[in-house]
Amino acid sequence: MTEPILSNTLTAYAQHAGSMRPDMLAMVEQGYRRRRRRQKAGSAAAGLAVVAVIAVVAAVHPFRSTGSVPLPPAASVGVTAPSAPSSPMPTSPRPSTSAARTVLQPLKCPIVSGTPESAPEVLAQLTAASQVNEYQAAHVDPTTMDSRLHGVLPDVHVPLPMLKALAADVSSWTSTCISNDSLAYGTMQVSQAVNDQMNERFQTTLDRLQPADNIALGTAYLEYLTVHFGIVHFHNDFDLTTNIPLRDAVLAAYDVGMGAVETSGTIHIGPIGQQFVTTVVGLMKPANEVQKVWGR
Amino acid sequence: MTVESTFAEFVRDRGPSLFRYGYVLTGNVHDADDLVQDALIRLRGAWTRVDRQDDPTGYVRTTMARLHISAWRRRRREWLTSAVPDTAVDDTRLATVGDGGADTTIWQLLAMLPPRQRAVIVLRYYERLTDEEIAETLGVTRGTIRSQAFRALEKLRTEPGLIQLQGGRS
Repeated sequence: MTEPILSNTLTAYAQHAGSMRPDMLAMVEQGYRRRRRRQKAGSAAAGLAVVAVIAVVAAVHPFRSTGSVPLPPAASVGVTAPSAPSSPMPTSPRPSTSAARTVLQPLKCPIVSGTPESAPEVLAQLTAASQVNEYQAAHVDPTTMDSRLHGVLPDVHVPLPMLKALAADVSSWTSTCISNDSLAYGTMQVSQAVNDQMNERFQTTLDRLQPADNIALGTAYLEYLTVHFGIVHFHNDFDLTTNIPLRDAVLAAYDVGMGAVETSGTIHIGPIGQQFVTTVVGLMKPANEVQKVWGR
Repeated sequence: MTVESTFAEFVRDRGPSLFRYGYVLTGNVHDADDLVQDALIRLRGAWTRVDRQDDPTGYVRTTMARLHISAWRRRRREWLTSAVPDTAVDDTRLATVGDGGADTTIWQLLAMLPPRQRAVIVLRYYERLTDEEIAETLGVTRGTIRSQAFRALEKLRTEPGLIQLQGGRS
């Protein structure tokens, strides 16, 4: 049954098919979540319908009074309260789950190496760091910067809520936190590579093992990412409070790396980076303020 | 490795090949994208099981072949929307294939085959599966595969240039 002409044609066309859409994985994950939600909703509705049918059958069944028909426990609500037809269904658990969803719980730090600083101390350091613009600090030489800045040092600030939420997600504000792979340390989970890179870029001598320096390094790295993405993709718009695509790109890059976000010259946030962005942005909302969540 | 990361790795590694397969099944890039996406969503739901026990590529290829001929899928109603989801793609590379020769003719004839017959042709001559394997993939008997292939080849033979096409009787 060899038919080379058909095989050759199909192979030739397949070779020229071009490439799959670049956001396929994200679309699949999105479709999968939608499908699962629909299935859950369907099965929950079916489950409630079964309970309702059993309750109705039990209520009108002649054998009910003899107790000879064993009923599943779920039906007992309908059986013991047949005189209240206005609420035959058991109370739905939905409100409690939606309430739980509004309060995000950041991950706990995997390895705590020593006594961490207290929350007020961390807050003070974060507040101080958010007010510093490493680019405009006195020790930066403008000539070492990207020529697209035209010698003007960028006015970039990391907003305090963003810094607080990010620190909450990566280390739950634990100044002595070590990552699972033992590469990142501190409140901002700074690696040695980032430490060296930032010290070289801003001509500083910060040490990631010192709590305040760690936060300064993490903030400097955020500023560096902001300026990079701002120059390349956003016409030098560095405002992290109004430029939401920039903010998301910076957050995703902090988690998965700049190269992973900037594929083939455009910004593309993958599912893992998107998950990180969603969590941090969720923690930035006033209702989820870090102190409220932890009761600190 | 989490479920998400192993699945992402699979899509990264096998996605392009699955897309090419979807392209020869459907005949155009938009339907190929849709088909791959639908099949991957189904694979994602079964990922932990399939990744552990079976061959995920075989699983998703089977899913794609079956989705392609699914009557439910074809009858699915379109959603009306004000935003056009598709953008034009550069299809000029296709013009270089065959230069209007036998390849182009076959490709055009394949586009006129019903989905099931096209699926049989693709599985036989692109995936190079045996009739038994095709029967298993599509969930029908070997006899059905042979008759579908025979009819498909008969249609292709109506083109004078392809009169020498064999197959269907083996």
